[in-house]
Amino acid sequence: MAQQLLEYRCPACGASLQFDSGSQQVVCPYCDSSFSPQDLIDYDSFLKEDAKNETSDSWSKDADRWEKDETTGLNVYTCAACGGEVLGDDTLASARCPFCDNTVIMKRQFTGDWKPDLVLPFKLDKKAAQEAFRKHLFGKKLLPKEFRSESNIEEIKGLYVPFWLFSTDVSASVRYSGTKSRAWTDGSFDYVETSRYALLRAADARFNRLPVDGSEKMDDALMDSLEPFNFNEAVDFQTAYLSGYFSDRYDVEADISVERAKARFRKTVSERLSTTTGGFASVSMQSTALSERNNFREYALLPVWLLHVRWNGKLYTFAMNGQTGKLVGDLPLSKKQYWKYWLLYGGLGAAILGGLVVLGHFLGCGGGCL
Amino acid sequence: MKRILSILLIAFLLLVPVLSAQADNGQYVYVDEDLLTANEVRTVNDRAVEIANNRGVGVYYFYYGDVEDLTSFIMSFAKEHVVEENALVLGFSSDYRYFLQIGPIAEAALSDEVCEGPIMEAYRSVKGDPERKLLAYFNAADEALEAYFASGATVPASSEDDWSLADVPANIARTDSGKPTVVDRANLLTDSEAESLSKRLKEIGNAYKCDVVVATVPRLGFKTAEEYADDFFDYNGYGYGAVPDANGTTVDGDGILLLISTEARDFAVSTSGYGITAFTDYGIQEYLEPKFLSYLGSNDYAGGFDAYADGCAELLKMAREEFPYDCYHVYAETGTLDSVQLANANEAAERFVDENGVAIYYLCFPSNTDFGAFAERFLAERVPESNAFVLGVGKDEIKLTGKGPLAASRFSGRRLDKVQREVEPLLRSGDYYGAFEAFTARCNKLMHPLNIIAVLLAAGVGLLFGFLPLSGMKRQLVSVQRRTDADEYLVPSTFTLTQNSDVLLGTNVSRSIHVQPTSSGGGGSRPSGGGGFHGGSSTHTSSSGGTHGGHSGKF
Repeated sequence: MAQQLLEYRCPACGASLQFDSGSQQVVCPYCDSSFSPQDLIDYDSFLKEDAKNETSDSWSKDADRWEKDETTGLNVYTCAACGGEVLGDDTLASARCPFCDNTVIMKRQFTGDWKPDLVLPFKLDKKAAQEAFRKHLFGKKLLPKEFRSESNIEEIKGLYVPFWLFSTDVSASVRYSGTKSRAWTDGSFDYVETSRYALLRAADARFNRLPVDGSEKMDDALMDSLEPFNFNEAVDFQTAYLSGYFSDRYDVEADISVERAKARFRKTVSERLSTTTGGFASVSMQSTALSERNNFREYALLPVWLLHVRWNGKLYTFAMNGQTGKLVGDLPLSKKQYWKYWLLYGGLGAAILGGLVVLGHFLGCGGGCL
Repeated sequence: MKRILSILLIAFLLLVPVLSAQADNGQYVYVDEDLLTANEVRTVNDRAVEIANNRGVGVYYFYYGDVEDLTSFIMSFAKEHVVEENALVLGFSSDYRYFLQIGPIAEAALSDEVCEGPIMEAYRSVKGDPERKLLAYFNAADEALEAYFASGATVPASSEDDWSLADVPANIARTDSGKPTVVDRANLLTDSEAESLSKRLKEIGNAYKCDVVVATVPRLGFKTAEEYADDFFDYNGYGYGAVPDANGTTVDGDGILLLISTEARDFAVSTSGYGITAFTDYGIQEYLEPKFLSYLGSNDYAGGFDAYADGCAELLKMAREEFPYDCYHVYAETGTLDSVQLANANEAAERFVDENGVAIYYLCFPSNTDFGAFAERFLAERVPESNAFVLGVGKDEIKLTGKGPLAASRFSGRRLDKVQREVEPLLRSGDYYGAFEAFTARCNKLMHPLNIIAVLLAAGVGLLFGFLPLSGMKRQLVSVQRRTDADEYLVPSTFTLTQNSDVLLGTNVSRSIHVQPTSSGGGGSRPSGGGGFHGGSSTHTSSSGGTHGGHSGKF
């Protein structure tokens, strides 16, 4: 092989390698490992191949377009303030923007686009959302007291949020470098033997219907926090389900959303793989390669209750999973409450520890106890 | 080949007893192996044997290149190897040479002048061949002996007479049993100095019924200072109330002797009888020696001996009137503490000094009517530490007092009242040991007041602990979080490991010096109070069989 050794990194420690003309070996000046040049070229090509082998089947599938008659009665509402677009039937004409709570909403005729594959119908109503919100405030010691009494729910809206559901068979291979060490003594010297290993772990795994929020307007973190949904209850899309609710249309393409899904697949697989590297004193990940096959994506509308709560002139957004009733949303912190509780617990700790020192002194261990 | 080897081995084994017999009997020549062959040693040694047989004087030679302190080595050499009463030893180390004459004939016939003169000249005149060099030495010594005997000199009196005190001038005062109190063989004192010192020592000796003696000699022969002092005391019959025993020597008189040898600046203090009781190890080394050693060190012998007399008088006074000066911290009259309690109390007091740097003393004399004066005197004379707390018990009296700046700041005012309140009922009920324990505990508290900084520090840490539950409460408010894993979307049982390989890339071994773990040995040794003193006097037996205490060293 006429390949040149230009710059290679030590597989054991990552330092730059040098060619030692005396031994005709490539040696690492830091960890004293030595390799034959051919081994090194092979090893390097492994890593490169791994990256090349990362393949992904197409996620797209035959387009399901709206049928002409399906869209009658559906309108597109556009918010004059934030530009958000939602679908809805005529009953929602006087509603506020579900994203920014603006009252001015413009209506226009719906035009064709991807048609959702699935819809998860609302199981919980407005009342349940209010109840869940009340419960959400319960037992939060650092929540400002006034938030409970003074905050008012300005608007509760049922909204079908567009999600991409990704299903796939993942093949992942991960390379690690690991060390094992052994120490012993012969009486006059202590010895530490360090062995470096190249570890290869590969696995197959199937992931089913990972939801990724397809709406630019909706906060990704907020939507992630609503998980999990039970997709067994999903039904084929019918416009009838949209009646009485807003429905956002996706504005993040599946090709972009899939990257988030892939990152999550990668993390779960590599976490599973790293549990198989026991027995090494230290392990560090060098590279991961992920291939997806049998890819399948669905366009689903998932039910979300959005609650806008105004307190102290600020808008707090909460979201409730319309299927499971899980309600999420960050609450404000009361500084006053915070320091009150600190004084309580800190004072208790100070009294106990200080008391122990005093007690220790009088029991006769003379202040040297601590 | 094998047979030849085994024959050689047998021959060697047969030789070994011959060689060792040679080494045991009549050996006069000792040299490092590489200097002379066994045959050469035998030739030279034969010459020495001849001299010993003809003249009755042993002439010895040794060369040990690795000897460091030749002076002390030659003494132990002489003890070990010299069998004759008169002998000359010439010793060499790699860089020194030493002549040692033993016995009166050797001292007269082979004096330093003779040794350094004709003998060394003869030795030096032979160059190179060590065998001939040694023979020259032995021949020269033989000639000197021949010349000495030819001159008709008689054999001097035997060494027994060394101890004679007949030469001591008449103006020197004598002890109760008629022995001179000052024997100045090294002529360190003027006549008047010696006379006044001897009178002083006689007065002290008679007043306290314990001989106090000073002796000076130019050299010790091959005795140690301690042996010399003990023998000087015993063979001359020193000691107040010494009784002659069947052998004519006297033992077990009461006395103390200070011996000075100027040759190597040795001194020794030897005690006997009541002297052993009165002059404890601690008393000699911590009280008496510091008084006189500095004078001797600057060659002020008259001053040194005066200081010695003062010290002896003070120690004897303490011993006769109260109790011997010692490192004890607890003193009790009989009937107050039993011996176990006394030992425990002393140990507790020593521990207290080690831990706190302050001494505590307990004087328990509930029948002493003049306790106040005694306690004052005790504090002034017997407390060497610069800081001390004292609990004194006299007749109908409890005296709490202290010494030094620490006592002034901590052992005063309301704190003293507290100690008094605690100790008094115990003493009234006769629990003298309990009172001491209460006193020690109280002193311990005085030395360890409540550490406000430690309390504040602990409280500060406690305040920090207050943040722990808060972080949990803070987390309650947060429910929105981005998800980064896909754990619940992994279809169960579809995760299958398809590849699993570990390839060894290389191994390297690093080496470092092995450090032996230091054993803590039960918390390490605790220095005992009084710098290694445990009270009382250690004794040894002298060559005449007498029991002596004391201490020796260099000045």
